[in-house]
Amino acid sequence: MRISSRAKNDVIIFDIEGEIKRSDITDVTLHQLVKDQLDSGKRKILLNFEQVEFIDSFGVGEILASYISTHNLGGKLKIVKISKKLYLIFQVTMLTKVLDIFDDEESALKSFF
Amino acid sequence: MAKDRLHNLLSRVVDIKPGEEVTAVFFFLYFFLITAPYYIIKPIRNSSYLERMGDEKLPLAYFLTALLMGFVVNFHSKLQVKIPRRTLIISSLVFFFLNICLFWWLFQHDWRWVPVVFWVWANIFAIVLVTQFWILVNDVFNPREARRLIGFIGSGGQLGAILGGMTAGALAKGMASGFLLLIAAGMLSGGILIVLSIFSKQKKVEPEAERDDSKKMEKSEKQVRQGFRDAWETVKQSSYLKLLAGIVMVTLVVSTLIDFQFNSTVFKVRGGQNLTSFFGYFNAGTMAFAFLLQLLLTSNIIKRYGIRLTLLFYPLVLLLGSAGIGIVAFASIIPAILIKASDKSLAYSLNQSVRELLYIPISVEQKYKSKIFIDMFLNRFAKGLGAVILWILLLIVPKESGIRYISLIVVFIISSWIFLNLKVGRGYADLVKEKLELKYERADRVVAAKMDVDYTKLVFDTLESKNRSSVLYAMHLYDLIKQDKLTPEIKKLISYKSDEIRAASLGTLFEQSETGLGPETDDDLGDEVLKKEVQEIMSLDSYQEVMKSYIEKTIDVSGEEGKTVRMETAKAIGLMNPGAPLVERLEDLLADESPEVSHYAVESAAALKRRESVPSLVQKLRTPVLREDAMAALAKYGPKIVGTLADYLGDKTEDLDIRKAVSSVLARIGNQDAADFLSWELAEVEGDLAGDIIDGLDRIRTGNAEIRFPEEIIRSKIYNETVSYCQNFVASSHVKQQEEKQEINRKGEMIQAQILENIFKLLGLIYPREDIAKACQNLKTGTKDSVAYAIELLDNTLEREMREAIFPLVEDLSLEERMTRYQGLLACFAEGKKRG
Repeated sequence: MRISSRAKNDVIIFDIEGEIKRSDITDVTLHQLVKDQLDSGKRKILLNFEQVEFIDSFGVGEILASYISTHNLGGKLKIVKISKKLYLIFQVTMLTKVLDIFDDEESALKSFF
Repeated sequence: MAKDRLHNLLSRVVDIKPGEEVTAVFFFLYFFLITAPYYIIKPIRNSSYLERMGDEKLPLAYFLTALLMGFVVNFHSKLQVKIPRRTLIISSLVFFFLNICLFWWLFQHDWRWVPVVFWVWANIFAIVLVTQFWILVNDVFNPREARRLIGFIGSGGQLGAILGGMTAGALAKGMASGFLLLIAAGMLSGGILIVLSIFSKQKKVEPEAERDDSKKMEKSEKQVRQGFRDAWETVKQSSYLKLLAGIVMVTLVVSTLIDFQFNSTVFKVRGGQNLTSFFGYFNAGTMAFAFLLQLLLTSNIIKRYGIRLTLLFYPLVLLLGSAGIGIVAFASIIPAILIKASDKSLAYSLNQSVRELLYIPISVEQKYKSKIFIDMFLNRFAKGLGAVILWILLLIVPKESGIRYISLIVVFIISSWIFLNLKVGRGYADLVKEKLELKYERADRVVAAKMDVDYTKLVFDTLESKNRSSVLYAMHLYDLIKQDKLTPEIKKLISYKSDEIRAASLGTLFEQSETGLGPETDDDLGDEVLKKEVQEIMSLDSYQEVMKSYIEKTIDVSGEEGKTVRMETAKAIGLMNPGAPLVERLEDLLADESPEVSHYAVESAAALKRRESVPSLVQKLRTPVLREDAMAALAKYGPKIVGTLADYLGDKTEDLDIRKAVSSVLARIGNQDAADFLSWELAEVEGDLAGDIIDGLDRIRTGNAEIRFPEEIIRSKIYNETVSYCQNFVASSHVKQQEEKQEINRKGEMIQAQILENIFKLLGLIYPREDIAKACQNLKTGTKDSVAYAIELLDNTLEREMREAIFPLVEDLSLEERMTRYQGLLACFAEGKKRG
């Protein structure tokens, strides 16, 4: 898994590539990267899932932990460009009741304001 | 420059912020320029009526005034919803200005009816203009601004009364009343200009508010209006407004009775000697005192003691005075003088100011209607009621000791007044709370309320295992069945007809057509039967033997195959009874280097809840990839391991990541013991760990309002955090180099924001959590008004010592003020620490 970050209109966008699974993690997790941004005062986080192929239960934990950390500081964490298949699983498991998921980056960015 | 000079001048007598000077002075002048004309008009009113009609016709004047006031209220109520506020106030001023000019002309003719009309008109003049003034004050200032400025603004009225009265007294001998009326008209025209300037300034500052206001006006036109009845209904429907109305009535009834006590005592003691001179000096003295009180002390008293305590000053002083009169009767004039002086000076300074503050948090519509009803109509009605009560009392009490009986009645009425004030104080605090929105709840609670995280993770594990191992997949299905979570939606999701076993892609699931969950059989096993049969099989000794021998052969196999076997074993152990012999192998699997194997081992440890696994689970907290799994697993053990976890938390040699994660686990368990252990540890620690513990305590508090926290420790921590905040600010302000300063300021602000967050979480442990959370959230992200209400909420919630520590951190202060206050706080805390 590779994670890169960029900023747009005060929103930090994490572009995630590959699979979010526990066997691929060495040192820094997605949650830690989100916390680093929160520690530096950022409060708007967008996770770009366009290149995410696979996610296991560890990935679910990372997303939820990131959401909780952001939300508890009064911030917002949202997801964009999730695959249809993954979206279906998110729906069945009620993740869509917690997470805001968008089809395109523009509408996702607008929703923060 | 001029503004700076004005600010410097005003700040000697009032706590005024930069930018407020002009508005404050305008309102001071507005009040001055409506009160001074009234105190010129008032002696003309009295003298012209008495000269023309005689004192025996005074009841007629009182009666007509009370009667016509109802019509005025009705008319004003209808007007105020049809025309914008600005138009109403300015039109009223112009109307009364023209009226004065008309009366100047009328007084030149010797018509008998003119003084009667003038008497009624003068009372309407005072009530309407003063009520409109206070309505505008309520609209323009938020609670924090009003608290600071109301003393200064109100003193404009006091000064107007003094100078108006002196003008009338000094000039009346040398000129006709008509000319005095022209002076009054001139002052009122100045008032018109000031009001125009106020509205002009407001439009520049808050154009949105004005637009909203006129929109509200347009909207309200569509509603049915009944004027006086509508105003009365508004008051009737609100328990808060009914309290305000009750307080006004009781105040005026008491004031009438006190007036009798005073006049009666003075007359009896002085025996009618030089009464005019005595009353003249007495009135002048009390007005002067009222002015100084209003200008110099009112805002400071309200700031120091808060609204709820300040409301009690006036009735308590009168209570003591009335009791004094009851004891000494006519033996001494002192109690009578004190009580009347207190009544006169406090009524129009401290009491008026704090009563006006009570209107600020109510809605605009309610404010207008209730003030019209209460300040215009009820004001006059209550005075009349007081007169009726006095008249009845004088009929029934013995003549000689009547004053004592009346004093007793006054004490009784004041007691009910104090009770009403206490209730309205609580009502005010509740209204302030309602003005603020809780913007967000703790996310852990939101997530727990909306979804089952364990179930979600199990579904993902099931899907993942389908392509890895049919054994693992079957165990996941069994796990779902065991938890009654193999829902039709899940069945549909995981069913597929495919020979493809590529593990990496979930996408293939949906590109194939559906099939069954597993191999098809002729037998249709129900879920309950399946659960029972699998459990029975797993309990068999023979099964345990077979599995043990299988595990021993395969557990050390390297590579992907070996890993899969170990994953299957770890998962299987979690489905067994805790006493099964194979469970002993769990410790080895917990120590496995593969995070996937460890994940299943951790889950199984959570399912079995064996104490022997706790140390291994705690060590997993060190590893980022397994931390969340281990925390969830330990939390599932529940209260029985709280003591064990507390030992890890308290062990200063233990890894910091472990101690931080343990604090989070204790928070998830969230019982009283967990709260106690976290609080005790909080007393010892600093830095990051303290932040995690504070967050954990906040989590417990949110989840269970019954949990109690050791107040001494929490308060001490709040003060420590406040010291850190101040130290951080002072340190970052001392950096000289510009580049370094920017970076340090930025970091400093981050640290201060975090400390403030901690302080509010700690406050939420010993004060109502939701109130503190509302205040904190609105301070961080609210509009100017919601920040003001947030501070007002804290003002009504925290006791004085805590306010003095916290307010410098949240109030809008200049850099210099901040530095001074923080250095003061640091010195104060250092002194307190030395004294122990």
